[in-house]
Parts: sequence; C-alpha cells; structure tokens
Amino acid sequence: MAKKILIIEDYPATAEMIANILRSEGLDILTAVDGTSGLEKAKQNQPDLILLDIMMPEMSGFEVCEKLKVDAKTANIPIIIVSVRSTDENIKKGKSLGAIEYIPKPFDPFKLVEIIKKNLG
Amino acid sequence: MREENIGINFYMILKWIVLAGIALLVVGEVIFGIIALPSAISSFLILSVLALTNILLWLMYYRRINTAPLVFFSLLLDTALTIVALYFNGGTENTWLFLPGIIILLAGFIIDLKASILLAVSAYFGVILMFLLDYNGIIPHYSIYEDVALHWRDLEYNLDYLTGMFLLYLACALGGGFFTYYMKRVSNQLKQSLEQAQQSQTQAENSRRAIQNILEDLSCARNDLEQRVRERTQELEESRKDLEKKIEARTVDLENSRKAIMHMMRDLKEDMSKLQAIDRLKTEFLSLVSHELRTPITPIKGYLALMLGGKMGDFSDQQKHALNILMRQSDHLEDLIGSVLDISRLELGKPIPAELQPLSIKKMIDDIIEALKLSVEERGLRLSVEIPGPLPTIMGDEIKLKRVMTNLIGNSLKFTPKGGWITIKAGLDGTNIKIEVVDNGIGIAREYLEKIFAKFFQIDSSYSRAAGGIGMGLAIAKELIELHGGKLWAESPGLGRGASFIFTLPVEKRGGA
Repeated sequence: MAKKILIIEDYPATAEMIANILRSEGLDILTAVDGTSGLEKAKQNQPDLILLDIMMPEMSGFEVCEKLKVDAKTANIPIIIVSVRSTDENIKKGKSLGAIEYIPKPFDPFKLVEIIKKNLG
Repeated sequence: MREENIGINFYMILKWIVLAGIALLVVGEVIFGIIALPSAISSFLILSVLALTNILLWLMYYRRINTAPLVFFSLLLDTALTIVALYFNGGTENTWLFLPGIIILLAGFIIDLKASILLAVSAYFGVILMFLLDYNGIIPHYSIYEDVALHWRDLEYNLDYLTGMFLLYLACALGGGFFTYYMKRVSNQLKQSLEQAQQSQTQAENSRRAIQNILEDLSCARNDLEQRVRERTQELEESRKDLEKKIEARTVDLENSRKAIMHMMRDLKEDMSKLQAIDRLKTEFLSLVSHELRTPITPIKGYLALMLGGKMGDFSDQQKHALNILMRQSDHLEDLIGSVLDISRLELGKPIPAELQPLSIKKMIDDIIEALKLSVEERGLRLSVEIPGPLPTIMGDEIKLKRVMTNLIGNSLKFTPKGGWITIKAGLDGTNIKIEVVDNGIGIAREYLEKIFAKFFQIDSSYSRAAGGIGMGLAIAKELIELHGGKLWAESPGLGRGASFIFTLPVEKRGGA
C-alpha cells in the first residue's frame, strides 16, 4: 500500500509541483491550503508524513506543528517543514516543535524526494 | 670804601662844627673887644678857605670821585693852619699843641695808617720848623703869658714838650691807623663771613630753587601723568563700553544662533526619527518582499529541475538549452532575493547566518568559472585564472563566498567591453588568502573607489540598470567578507584603465588538531 503524504501549503503552484514529483515516485498525496483544514485532514487520513509550510494566513505552520504534536492522533506523524524562512532561529524553533527536518525554499525537488524517502523508512 | 665814606662824612660834619665854633668864638672875641677887627678878618679868611675845602670835599663826596687825596690835603691844611694858629698863640707856650694829634687820629680813622703816619711826620716837621724859626728869632714870637715870657725860652722844657708831642702824634697816628687797619680786617672778616653766609644762603637758595624746580618738574610730570592716566582711563573705559556693547551684540547673535541651531536640531531629530521609521518600514518591507518572492520561485525552480531531470518527458537540445538558461536566471533571481534579504537583516541588526565549513578556494573559483563560462564567451571576453601555488583550506560559507565572487566577476563582465580580459588571481599573503578580480574595463574614478561599497549606490543608475544590477552587490559582498573576518576593497588607476577588486580571507588556524 502506497504511503500517504499530506502537503499543507497555501501556495497552490508549489503544492502542485511537490504533489507532481511525489506522485511520480508512487506516493499518495493529500493537500490542504491552510492550517485548519490541514489539521482536520491529518486526523482523518492519518498520513505517513506531513510536509508543512510556515507562512500561511490565519494559522502559521509553527502553530499547526504544535497542535499536531499535542493531538495524540497525529503526534507520531513525522513532520518536514518546507519554508522560505530559513534563519537558524526558525530552524531551531521548528525542530523544538517536533519537526524532523527543516528544508529552506526554494529547494531541489530531487533532494526533497530523497529526504522524504529516508524519513519514510 | 663804605667805612671810609662814613669817616669822611663824620670828618666833614665835625669840620663844619669846628669851623662854626671857631667862627662864633672869633665873633665873640670881636664883640667883647678881645681881638681887633683886622685880626678877626684874617681869621675869617682862613675859616673861609677851610670851609671852601670842605665844600669841595662835600661835592666830590656826592659826585663819588676818589676823595682820598683831597681828604689828605684837607687834613694837611687843617694841621698846617692849626700849627700856624698855635704859633700865633704862643707856640710851645700853648698847651693846645696836642690838637694836630686829633687831626692825625682822624686821618688814621678816615684814611689809613700810612696817611696818619705821613700826616704825623708832616705835622711834627711843621711844629719843629715853626719852633726853630720862633726860638731862633727868625720870626717874631707872640707870647700868651706875660709872666712866663722866659719859660718858652727854656730849651730843656721845649725839648721835653716837643718830644712829648712827637710821641703823642705818633701814638695818635698808630692808634688811628691800627684802629682802622683792625677795623678793616674785622670788617673784611665780617664781610667774608657775610659773603660766605650769603654764598651759603645763595647756594641754599639755589639748592632750594633746584629742589623747587625738581618739585615743580615732578609736579608737572605728575600732572602730565595724571592727565595721561585720566585720558587712558577714559579711552579704556570707552573701549570697555565698546567691547561690552560688542559682546552684548555678539551674545545676542550667539543666543539667536543657538536658538536657531536648537530649532534645527529639533527638526533634524524629528526628521531623523521619521527617517528611521521610514527606513525601518522599508527594511521590513524588503524582508517581507524577499520572502514573498521566494514563494513563486520555489515552484518555478522545482518544475525546471523536474524538466531538466527528465521527469516531465523528453526535450529537444534547443529546449534543454532554454531550460538551462531559465534555471540559471532563476538561480540569479534567487541570489538577488537572497542579497535583499541579507541587506534587510543587516539593516535590522540581525546577524547574517553563515554556515562555516572547510573550503578550497581553488575549487570554488573553478566552479564559478565553469558556471560563468557561457556568459564570458557570449560577451567575447577572455577569462583566466592565476593561482601560482597550492592554497590552504579556509573555513567559510560556500554559498555566501560564491555569491561574493560571482558578484565581483559579474561586475567585471558588465563593465569590461568586448575583447577585454578578466583575470582571477589567488595567493597567500601572510596569514590571509588574497583573491583579486582584475579587468581592463572602464575602471573607476578615484572619488568613487569607496562610495561604490555603499548600499544601493550606482555611479549611473541608467547604465547600471542596463548592466543588470540593483546596486547592492558590493555592499553585501563587503559585509559578507567582513563576516568572514576579511577585507574587501577596490583599486583602479582611473577611468578607462581597468579595475581590481581584492579581498582577503584569514587562513584557518589548525592549532594542535
């Protein structure tokens, strides 16, 4: 059974581009355009991994990450943050909130695939 | 002379008295019938002669003619007449023969010792002559005593009497002469003393005058000085007032200037805080914009990577070439956005993150040249590298150092006309690695050598835009090199003569590891 990846990203082109390459790698893709729907989809669908953007309207990626880790249903899902905010500060913050990786945008899609595969085990 | 005059005066007065006395006596004798009239007349004749001499003397005395000879003559005449008169009155019988002695004494008083002695000798000779003539009966004798007629004939008595008279005359002459002599001496001494006293007084007076003169001079000088002091004081006072006025005026000016400056400073402060606020807004805006720009670049670059990676079907070589160019331009765009972000971080006082790792400068240069090869060829330039020896590795942020070098070489590409050359040199310089990007392009004017490192600085914005830059490259490059502990500067011999951009990076100390 194919692994499920949830992409929480408010910028459709980016979400679509990521979905495009991950599908070509044989992964199931779910997308959410904001934090609220992202949290819902994560609970409902129990993805194997979440790709999380930080700069989103209403709820920031950090908040989403925090909430995912608090909720027992989603606490064990590995989270990879993909963000334009790439300072040490942000990276530290993301990791302290439970993200296993922090990838700065823009990124090489092949490297992203590599990292995801590594974390899916 | 004065004493003599007093004597002459006295003599003349005395003579008038004596003459008057004799005249009265003769008149009395005539009245009482003692003498006959012819004899009285002869007496008055003699008295007249004597009065005449006295008048003459009187006139000479008041005409201030030398009277000494006439006085002597007068005295001589007096003496002679007295002797003659005594002869007619008994000669040596008469005890009044001492009378010439009085005249001799007078001569001594009035004239001097010589005159009195001469008169005494003359008188004595006169007396002796009369006696000899009388005694020897040559001339008749007029006796005054009836009963003593023989008495005058006694030679012994006569000789005694005459000897006594001689001594008397001599005594009178010496007495009068010496009296006068001593009087003169005393008077001279007195005069000398007086003169000395006068001299002293004169000297004292002179001294007093001299002192007075000095005092007057001093007083004048003092007055003069006081006057001058007064004048100077007045001048000073005027100057002081003038100065005070000037100072007051200047103080007012200064106060006005100070107020104006304070006002300006307040305005400036307001402007400053406004500017700072605007600057902060701008910086925050830059930060936001650069983040927002990264968002669309992510899918662009992602799809390009997928296409170039063969995940989106096959492309012709022409298409692949185009995709490569798109990818490179996207990288460049990302780089520009990264620069803006770095600048906004600098302006906000945030540290620029740097990932330090061991780097080989040579490899880095080779990578950059490889990446820029196409651009260099397109522009018809020659690019060469000069690395004379092996270089130690350094600790640095590869992305940032590459950005710096790309920027410097990119500048050279922009500002070097077709057919020019660019040389990259690298070598050890003490404890640093020194890297130079040298070209023979349009160069940099001396005045701009430092300004070009200012943020958003462009010598000519239109030219720069045509060349494709936003004027931040050098500012950020300088910051990045300094972040690594190095220095970045520009050198140029002048416009049209090429330029060099040089930076240093400290060699990592390997310590004991």
